[in-house]
Amino acid sequence: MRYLKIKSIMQKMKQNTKWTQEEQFNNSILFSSDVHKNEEKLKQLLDSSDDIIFHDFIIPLHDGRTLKALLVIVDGLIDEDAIRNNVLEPLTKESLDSTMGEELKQVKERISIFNTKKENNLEKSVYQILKGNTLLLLDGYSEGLLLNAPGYEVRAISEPQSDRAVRGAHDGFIESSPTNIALLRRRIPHPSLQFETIKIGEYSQTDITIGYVKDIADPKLIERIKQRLEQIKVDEINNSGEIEQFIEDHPFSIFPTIGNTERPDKASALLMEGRIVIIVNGDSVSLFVPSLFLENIKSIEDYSSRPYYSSFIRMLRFVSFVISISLPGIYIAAINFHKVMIPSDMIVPIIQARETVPFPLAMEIAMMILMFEVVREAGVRLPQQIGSALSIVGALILGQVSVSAGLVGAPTIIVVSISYIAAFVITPIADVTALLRIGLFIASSLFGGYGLIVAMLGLLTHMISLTSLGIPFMAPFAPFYFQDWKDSLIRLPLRWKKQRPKSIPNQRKTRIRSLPKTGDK
Amino acid sequence: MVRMLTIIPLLFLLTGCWSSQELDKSALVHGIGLDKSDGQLRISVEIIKPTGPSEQGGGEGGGGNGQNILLERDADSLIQGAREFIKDAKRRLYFEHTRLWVIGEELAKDNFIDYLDESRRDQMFRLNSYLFITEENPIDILGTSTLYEDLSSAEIVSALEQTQYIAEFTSVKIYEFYKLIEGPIPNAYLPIIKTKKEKDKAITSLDGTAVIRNDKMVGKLNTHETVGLNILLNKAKGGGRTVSLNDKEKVSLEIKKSETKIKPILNGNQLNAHLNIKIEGTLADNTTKSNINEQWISKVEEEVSNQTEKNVRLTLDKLQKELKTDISGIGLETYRKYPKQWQGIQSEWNEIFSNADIIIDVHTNITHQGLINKSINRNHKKPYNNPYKR
Repeated sequence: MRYLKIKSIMQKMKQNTKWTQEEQFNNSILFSSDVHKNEEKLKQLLDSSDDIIFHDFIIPLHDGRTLKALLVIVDGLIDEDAIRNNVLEPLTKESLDSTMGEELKQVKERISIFNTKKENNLEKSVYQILKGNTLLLLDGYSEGLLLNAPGYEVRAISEPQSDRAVRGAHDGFIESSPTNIALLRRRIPHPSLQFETIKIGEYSQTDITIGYVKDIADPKLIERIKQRLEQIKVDEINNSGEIEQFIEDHPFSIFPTIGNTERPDKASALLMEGRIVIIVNGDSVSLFVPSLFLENIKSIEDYSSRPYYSSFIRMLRFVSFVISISLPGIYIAAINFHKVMIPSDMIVPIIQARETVPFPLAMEIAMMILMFEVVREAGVRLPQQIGSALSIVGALILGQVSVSAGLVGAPTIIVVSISYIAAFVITPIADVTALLRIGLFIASSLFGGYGLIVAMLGLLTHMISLTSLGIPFMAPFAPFYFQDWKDSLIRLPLRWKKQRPKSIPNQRKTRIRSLPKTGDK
Repeated sequence: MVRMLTIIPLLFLLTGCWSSQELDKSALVHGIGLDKSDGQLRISVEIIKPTGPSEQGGGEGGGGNGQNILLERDADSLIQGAREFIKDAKRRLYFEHTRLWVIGEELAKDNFIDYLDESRRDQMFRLNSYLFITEENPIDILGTSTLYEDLSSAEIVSALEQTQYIAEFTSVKIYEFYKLIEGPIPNAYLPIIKTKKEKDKAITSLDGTAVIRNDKMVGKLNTHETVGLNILLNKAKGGGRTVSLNDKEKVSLEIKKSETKIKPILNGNQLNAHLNIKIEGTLADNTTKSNINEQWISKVEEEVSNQTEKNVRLTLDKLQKELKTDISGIGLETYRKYPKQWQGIQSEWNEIFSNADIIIDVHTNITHQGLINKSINRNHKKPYNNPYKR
């Protein structure tokens, strides 16, 4: 019942969603001047849910009269100490010195809470209460005071599980978006860094905050994201992944065209490149757009280590991606179709390994890929204590016993393992590589090297056709921005990166204006 | 969209030719032997034994090291034999890893090039496989026991890839062979392989060069003459050379660089060729007691030049007088220099070559003498202050 009522409130929101959300309750129920009537109405709307506390108390007045007052809070969302010490105590201990009709002003002055505001709309207040505000009603006034003193438990800032860095910041985003915003604000304390919040989800009322640096980010891009977010009309947003899939250009592609990160240092670096960060309340993973393919082979740590090693590692990551998706395909194409591709010295051990295996090669590889996926998935979800047992069983059964039992050839295990290990180098799209591997493997098991090449060309065509909020996914390779190549598969010294990347539209081109001269002079 | 999605998978079912072939249903041939037998072609193949070494040994050819299967069969042509081998091998034969062709001498003196046609026509064969001539039965070469590798074919091939350290044999790949045969002078040379008793087992050994004139083998050069041929062909890029200064003293040279330039001069049907051979090397071995100085080095250089000249002359004599076949590269050089006259003399080239006057000019240069200058001095000096001697 309660939800239905709130739904009717939200339906009005739906018709007229604005970033400020001020004018949604124009025609809704207002507070009456009788505190008991207000209480009844509130109870009606909230359907007397158990977690909502109605606290009646009396404010003594200077001339001996008393004033009935009502405090409405949600249990567990409120900083109880703050309400008790800063609201209840000052109001009840000392009598209020005021004339008739001036009490509300007096009360407001006496309460020592930063963020208080008057509210005459009852329905809107309900919604504010549920978000963690405290409503204070006084008898005889058709206005209530909304006190913002939220106090709920949040997780401490800790190092993110994914995207780890040895050299670099070790803090990570948490589930509370005010904290996440503060983490970014601490890194860019400049007025140009702006945050705008929209509530999405009729039931979940999730705060979606977009952050951008106004001087740098492309206003068209900001406008596009705002529009897309506004158009989302759903019941709930559970995590950032849903937002990602609702606003991306190509929701049916296997490649994600919106990036995500748990690292504030990465997010602030992206903001300074002219990108837009989307923080979803309740999720420690923040999104960023535009996200290009190259993002998957970059790491924030690349910029702090020497350029030579970073370049090497980036190329390694790219090669790993190619190896990871194509190695089983190349293997089956070489053995079943183009035996001449295998070096003559290598073919003898491969033949001897194949001879004892009872299955066709394609089935052998398919079995191994399936088993590796099963082990990987089990390892991800399992508690750590069982995890070690799993790895022993997996290593033993997959690696050792299946070969000695003659079910699988050792070369097949090597090929599939290398393919999987290579995928772990590029974790952001490890899920994509898993699917591509299977796809390319099927193509080449049916049509050999020809099938493999056609499938890879198809994949490349698809990748080039992708866009991330209108920005080409394969930039700076297609379209060709040669100046951005210094921070692509290689990373040239930072000194040479005087301009912001052209791949990401921005308003402020230069990022380095002057640097100390090189050498010892 | 839906229609496309249904049509595309259905298209896969329409494909008729299925070129996929499981490895455990194929027999991969590493070496082929060809010989003549009663007007037919006797084909022998060496196949990798998929199950690894075992007690039973090879197939009907017998012998070997247990890693290979040897099969032999008479057929009219190579491809017919390859198909008929399925009966024996129980699997389809794949020639994609064939790296060795051994041709029996009897066939080589006949029409072996006609039988080789398929090696270029079929995409399955590798053109970079090596050709050999043997005086023995080709299957014996394929069946010799190996020292390191699993297959004798693989071992012979790996031996050829080490030729840079030794100038005593030639190696010819199929495409090189065809380049020679289809060149201006349809003569070629192929290495000869034979088995050699080493303790109680037979191993293969390369020995000399077969000379092919107009698609048929006409004779052979021995190992010593092969060195001369390699110098003539500008292929002797390495190897050692030992010269005798007198009866006892011998000096070895390690060749670092050897360059042969041929300058032919054609006067009607009389050819005068000038061979300019430049050898650069380092002193590798000095068994004499003499110390090294300029004079001594120039003496060694002269001796090396003389020996090289003799060696080349020996080869040329054999090619000119005995075999009347030009495989030396002089013909090619003449063709390049006199392309117009070539048309007229091409048919009688071997004759012209036989009567040619060839001047050989060898220049040797020893660039350094290794890490030591002196040989061991046997006449030890007496110590200055011997404490035991008053």
